Amino acid sequence: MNQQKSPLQIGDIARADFRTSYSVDAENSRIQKALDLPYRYQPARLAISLSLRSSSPPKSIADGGGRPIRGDTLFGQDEADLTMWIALIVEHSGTAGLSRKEFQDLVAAHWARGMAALSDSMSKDPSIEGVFGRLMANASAQ
Amino acid sequence: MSDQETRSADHVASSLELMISARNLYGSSGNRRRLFNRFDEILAAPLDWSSLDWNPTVTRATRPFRFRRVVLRNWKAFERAELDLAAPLDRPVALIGGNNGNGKTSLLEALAVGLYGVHAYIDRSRLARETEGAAAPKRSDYRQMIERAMHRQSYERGDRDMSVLIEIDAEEGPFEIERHWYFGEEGDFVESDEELILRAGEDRCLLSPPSDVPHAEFAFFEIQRRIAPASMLPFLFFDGEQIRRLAQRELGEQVRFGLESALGVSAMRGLIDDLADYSRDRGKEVQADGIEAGLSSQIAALSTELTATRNELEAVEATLAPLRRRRDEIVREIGSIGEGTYQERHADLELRKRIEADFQAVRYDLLVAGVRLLPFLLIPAKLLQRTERALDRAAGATSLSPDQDERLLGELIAAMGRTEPPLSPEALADLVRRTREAWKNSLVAVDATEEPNMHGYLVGHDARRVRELLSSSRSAARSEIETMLRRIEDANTVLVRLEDDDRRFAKADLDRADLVAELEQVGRTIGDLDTQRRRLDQIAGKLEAQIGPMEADLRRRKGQRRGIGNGGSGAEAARSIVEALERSIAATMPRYYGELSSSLTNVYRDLAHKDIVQTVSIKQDGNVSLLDAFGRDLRSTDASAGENQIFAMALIGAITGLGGASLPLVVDTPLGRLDTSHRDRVLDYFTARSSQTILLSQSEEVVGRYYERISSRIGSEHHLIYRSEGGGLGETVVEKGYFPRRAA
Repeated sequence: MNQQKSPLQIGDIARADFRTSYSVDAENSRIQKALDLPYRYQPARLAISLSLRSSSPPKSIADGGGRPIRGDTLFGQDEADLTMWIALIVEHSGTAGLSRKEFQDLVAAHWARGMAALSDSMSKDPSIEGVFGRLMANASAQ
Repeated sequence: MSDQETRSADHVASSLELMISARNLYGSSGNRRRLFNRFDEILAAPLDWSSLDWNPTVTRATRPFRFRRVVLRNWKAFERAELDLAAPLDRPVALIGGNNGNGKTSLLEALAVGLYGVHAYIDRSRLARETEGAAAPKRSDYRQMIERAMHRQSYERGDRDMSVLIEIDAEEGPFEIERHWYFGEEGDFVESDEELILRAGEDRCLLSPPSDVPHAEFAFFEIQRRIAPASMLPFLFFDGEQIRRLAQRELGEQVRFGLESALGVSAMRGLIDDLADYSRDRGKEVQADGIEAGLSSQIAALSTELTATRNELEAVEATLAPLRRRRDEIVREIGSIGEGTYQERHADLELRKRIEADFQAVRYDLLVAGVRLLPFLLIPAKLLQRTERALDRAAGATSLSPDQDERLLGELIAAMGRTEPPLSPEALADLVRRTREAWKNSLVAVDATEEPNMHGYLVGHDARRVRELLSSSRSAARSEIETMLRRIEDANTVLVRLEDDDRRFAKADLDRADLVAELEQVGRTIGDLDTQRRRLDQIAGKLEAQIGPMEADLRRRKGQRRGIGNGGSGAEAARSIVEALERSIAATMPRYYGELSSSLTNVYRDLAHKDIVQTVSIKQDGNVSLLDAFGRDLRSTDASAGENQIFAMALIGAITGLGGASLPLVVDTPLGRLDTSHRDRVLDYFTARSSQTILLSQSEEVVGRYYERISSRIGSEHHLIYRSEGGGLGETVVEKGYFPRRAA
């Protein structure tokens, strides 16, 4: 199968598994617990957003040992939501014709980079309102 | 003496008689309150008391009398006893025989008490009082004596009446004294149950007192007048005991005693004692009356204690008052903490629960929304715009095909032809041409700007919708999240306030606990002080209860002393009278010494078997001397007991013979203590008198020779026989005739 060069389809993304490194995944779980979040995708999505702030491409990660999250879970059940996230990530990459595999790796890298920033933010005030407040403050400062 | 002086003297004399009557009425012993009040009345008159001159007029009128008949009913051992003592004048001796214990003494007592009632009881023991210092008999002793005198068997049969009847032949004529004593069911006797009936004259008329004189007083006066003063009793009725007592005394004493008895001085002495006491009682100056001083100091001491107690009490009250206030305060404080704060607290708890729930809810909302919306705030604006443009392009590219283009255009142009007002064909053609051109240009613009398509996956998908989602999410995100954050902050604020409240309540609880502890402490202190206060109150009450009557008593005594006018003058009057009486007595007595000494001399010489004593002389100072023929005083010679008794008897004889006439003598066991040599002379003396002599003799006494000696003078004979009733109490009966004759 020529996965590498076949451009991604929305339906594929919806069904695909997305992983990050083992350590990032562990941190994801920790933060999920700390913020009392019911789902693993929630810190993950925040991390990805945080990573997209930086215009440079994220460093790809070697380890894909974290637990998977399905695409439509990570990005949203609604097709519009899912499509939106794909558009954002694709636009950020500046690369046309990304394959599904390339997209997965990209997501894994964003996830890892974003998680570091989220951890940092957490350390100051672990309450949800604290984290969100800070993130928002940072966002407006931009 | 002027008329006025005479009147005054009469007043004084009659006042004296009033006082004597008062003494008779109210008694000279026991509570003298009434007597003293009577003195107040009598002595209120402003008379010259110093003019009082007492004359023993009563005695001057001693009249001879004889006992004629005596009837006893239920008296002591006698259920009924009758003595018939009438006899010719030349036979004045009545002989009554009886062995000891058979009732001789009872007879004597019956006569004495029959004549004088309670006064016999008092006067008869006067000698004993003076010699042996026996206590003065009280009227209650008389009552007891009377109660015991009731004949036992009759009492048990139900009789409650005892009586003595004495018939007398007096100078004024026959005189009867009948005295009854009535007893209650239990054998109790009260003085008011003593009835006295006097009869006088041949027809035995009842003697009634004048309207303003009480019967008892009148009767006593009459008896004394017709017979003899009660003070003479020791000399009228006597026994060996009496003689012995008299004989024990100095001769001068004996004379004094005898003369005073004859003159009724003893009554005066009694009055003097009462007046002296009275004047002390009513006196103006503060006497050394220990009672008042004692009372005053007691009251002072108690008052000091009372004041101290009251001060203590005040101090305790002063301490208590603020404590009580504090206690009320605490109670109020606790109460206020309790109520308001509990309500608040309850409300707060409810609020807190709600807020916390709200808080959690908002947090959750924030979480959910936040996760959804936050990325739109985080993702850089540039990236969002580029993505939006890309989506726009994709939306534009995929939404129209060329066929679709033409059809749409055609419809648009056709619709233009139908607008109002209708256009001219030329205008319409121009409009159509411009529209087509614009349409093509836009498509071309789009085509021209087309970039290499990164978003090929969008083909066949609704890019427009995604584009809309992106924009709306971005704009909504900030406000939604901010709203939620605000809600969280608000909730937090409330929660902080609630926490503060809670801390406040906790503090209030502590305060409350503190207050409760303080309340207990204060309560205990109040309790202790209250106990103290009650104790002090009790002490004060007791002291007041003690002081009150004492002060009243003191006031009364002072008031009595000060008197209401009378008291002061009464005391003075009493003192004057006492002085006057003592003067009178001292002056009167020697007046009789002459008469008495010659009388004594005669009797003494009759009785004494030694003829040594020539004269019995009584000097002005009352001293007695026995002088021989040469005028030498024989008192230096030791007198035997018997000789003293002879003198005593001589005195009796002389006394009863004062004033000329002699009174009857009743002698119990006349010879008992005498030696043989004296017996004859004594018997002779007694029986030689012209006045009546009643001899109560034992069986061994006036018998044989002695009996023979006096038999010619015996006017009546009786003897007492004791009859026992089968082992129990017996009774005595009187029978005529003396003891059965025995050979001498």
